[in-house]
Amino acid sequence: MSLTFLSAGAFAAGLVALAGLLFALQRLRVRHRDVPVVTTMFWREAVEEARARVLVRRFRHPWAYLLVLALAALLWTVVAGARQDDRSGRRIVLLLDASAPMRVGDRFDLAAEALVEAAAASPEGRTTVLACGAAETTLLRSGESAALLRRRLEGLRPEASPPSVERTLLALARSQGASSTSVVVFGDAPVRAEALAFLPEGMEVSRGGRADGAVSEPRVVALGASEAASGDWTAVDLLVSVEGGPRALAALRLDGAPVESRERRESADGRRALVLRDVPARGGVVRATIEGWPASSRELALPDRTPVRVALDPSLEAVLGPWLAADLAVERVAPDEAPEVVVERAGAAPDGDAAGPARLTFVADDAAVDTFVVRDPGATGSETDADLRRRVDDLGLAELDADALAAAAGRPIGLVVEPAGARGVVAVESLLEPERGLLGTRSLPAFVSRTVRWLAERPPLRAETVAGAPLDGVKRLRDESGRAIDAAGLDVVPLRAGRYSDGRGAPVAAVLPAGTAAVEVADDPLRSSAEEERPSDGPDLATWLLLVAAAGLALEWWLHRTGRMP
Amino acid sequence: MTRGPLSFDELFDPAFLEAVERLRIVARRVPRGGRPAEQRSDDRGAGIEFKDYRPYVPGDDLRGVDWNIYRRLGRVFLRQFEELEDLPVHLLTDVSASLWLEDPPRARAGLRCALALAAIALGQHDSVGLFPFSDDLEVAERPRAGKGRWMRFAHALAALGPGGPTDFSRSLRRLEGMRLRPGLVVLISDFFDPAGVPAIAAAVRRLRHRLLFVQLVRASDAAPTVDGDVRLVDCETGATEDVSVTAAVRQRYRDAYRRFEDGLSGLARSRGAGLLRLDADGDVAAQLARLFEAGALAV
Repeated sequence: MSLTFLSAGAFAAGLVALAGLLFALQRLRVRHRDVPVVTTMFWREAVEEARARVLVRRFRHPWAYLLVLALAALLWTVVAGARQDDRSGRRIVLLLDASAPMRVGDRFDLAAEALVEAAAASPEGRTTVLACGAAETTLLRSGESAALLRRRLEGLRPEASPPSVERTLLALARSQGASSTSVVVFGDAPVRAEALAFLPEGMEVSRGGRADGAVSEPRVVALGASEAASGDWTAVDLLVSVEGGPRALAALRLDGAPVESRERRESADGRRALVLRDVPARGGVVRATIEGWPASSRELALPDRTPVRVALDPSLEAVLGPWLAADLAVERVAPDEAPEVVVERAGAAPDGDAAGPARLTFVADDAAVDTFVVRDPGATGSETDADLRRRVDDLGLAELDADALAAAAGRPIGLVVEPAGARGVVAVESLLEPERGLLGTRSLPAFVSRTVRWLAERPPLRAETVAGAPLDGVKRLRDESGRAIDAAGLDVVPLRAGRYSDGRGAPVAAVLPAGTAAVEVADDPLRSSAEEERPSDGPDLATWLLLVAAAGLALEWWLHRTGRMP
Repeated sequence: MTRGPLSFDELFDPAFLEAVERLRIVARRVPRGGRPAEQRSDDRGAGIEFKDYRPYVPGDDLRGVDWNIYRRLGRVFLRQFEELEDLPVHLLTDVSASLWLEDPPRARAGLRCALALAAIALGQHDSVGLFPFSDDLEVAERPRAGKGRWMRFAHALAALGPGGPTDFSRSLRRLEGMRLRPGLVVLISDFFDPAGVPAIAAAVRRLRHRLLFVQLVRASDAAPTVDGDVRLVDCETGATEDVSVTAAVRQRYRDAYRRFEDGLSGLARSRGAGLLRLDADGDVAAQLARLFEAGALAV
């Protein structure tokens, strides 16, 4: 049983007050035991003299007092708004979603507030509160006072991690076994029906803290781009989310031109979203505005994924043609179609100051002093080790097994950075040989792709992994603060989005998985905790309590009438 | 619990009668017109005690002329002697419900007292009548003399049973209406008339008889033993009184009872009546002996 209108403390205080009041009243009551006497006239005189002055009597009738107290307690329980809770004895786990989607707007604050209210209304001895960010954080242990929760929530913010509520539910299922547990999720973390199917029968999951019908000033709470679901690398999918207001939606303009979308969503927490598919990623600016509310507009600069126009020397077609064709960031053009980058084979290194497109030139081994020569207008000639490492990374050479390559080529592998009038890269053509070079290794496509982007002065495409997913073959990571993440021999999982470095120092970027967004109403298999508390069709607890109180009253009346009770 | 009539054996006790036969009721003066007996009366007649002289008038019995005085004074005077007559004793025994409530009932002491007084009076040739009363008065035995009548009295007393509530006013009005020869009215009662002592005083004021109050008391009357929260039920009227008996209430009860006793004593004093407080739990004969100082009760 739980109380709707009163806290447990207030209910107990009221009950004590009632007991005290009834105790006082009981002291005023008189029980009459019939005693026949020869005359009552002297008693009448005695009582009439005393009646006006007697206020308090000694306590007389404990059973009568207990009966009346029970009746009063029943009525007080009705006043307190008691509701039936057949989950008596169930463990209650409140989960606060502290993942990246909760960063949007004040989702997290609202969820946290609802969490505090729910924790205060839950029995202390059986309630545990967890925050589900990159890892589970226990905010309130079973038996701790709910008053501690608000202080522990201070400073807690959503992490750049994918929603982990499902993972927590499964962990709870493992730790709880078949014991009955009620889990209430606060936040928008999606919970799939498939995940619920793994939970034991005794575990019930609901979603709490949804505000119904709250209408406030509309505002754009999210505007973002993600990889196009169609697979088109040169395009992105846009999502704009609006909350508040009377069903308002945002209007989108791309570089000033209106764009329309018919794909609308409504999230579980009442937010409305528009999704635009396959928007060309050419560095344009998207602006989302709500009509009548200009202050709520937001802008987003789209990435520039215009393919690099590359002209390939026909002599290299067999070796590099397939890789370039497979590279979505490259568009093959003829030499006379104004390529941005030319990949060629030459007898000698070209002039570094020559005009025209940037060039990746493969030269004979004996025509080159070093394996890789990087010509860069920004080079100073006195590059530091950090500069060299950055260039190795820019050219995709981080994956290069230099020792093996040197052993196979019979020469040292070197990288030289030269100041020049235009960007250019010169490499020895033995790299294209199957046995002595990179042909057949995964380093060649990485080298070609990254080098072409660098030559075209496009931002590098860095290696990315999805936060929350295991890194294949990687056993150890360090986050940006240098803290080691060791998976004890298993593939390590970057829990948060951010930059990491693997065991060899190679950078690893973890990003949120595509589609990380608020859970949608239609897709949410969880029922609202408020719906779960909806009374059934039968008599509710208050009705039963009133019936019991009425029966107790009738019993007292009967006892009184039959002389068994004063 | 009110009990029924007492048996004859409960009332008749030869030792009890033997203890009271030495007692006498002496009237200071009985009214004229009585039957010759042992009580001094206002009548002048053929008694043995010289009383006075009076001048001779024609028709007087010449045997009463004092010839010595005639010889000395030459005038004829008659000697007058005090006439001894009987004292009408009217025994009004209270048989209201309150006298039958406790164990032993007060009626036992009351009826034994009545029997004792009847035996005493009958033994000295006084006429005795028995008038039980509660809410009204009845005639159980009309006033008659005769030493052998005490057994009849005993049976009459044994036949008495519980009556209704006490109503002195109505009962004494009924007695007065009988126009009995003035004598001694003995009121044997607990005097718990719901109307209180003032009503008793008003009723008594109308009586032309000498009075003797025999108050049947118990120790619990002055110091009740009930305690706690009680609903007191008046055994006569059925009236109830809810009382939480505390020391303070008990003290106020004692005050009320003392006022009642004082009122009754004042009433007896004002009427020149005797008042005997007879403990219903004590020996009736012994208590009567204390009342009859030097063996006689002057009324």
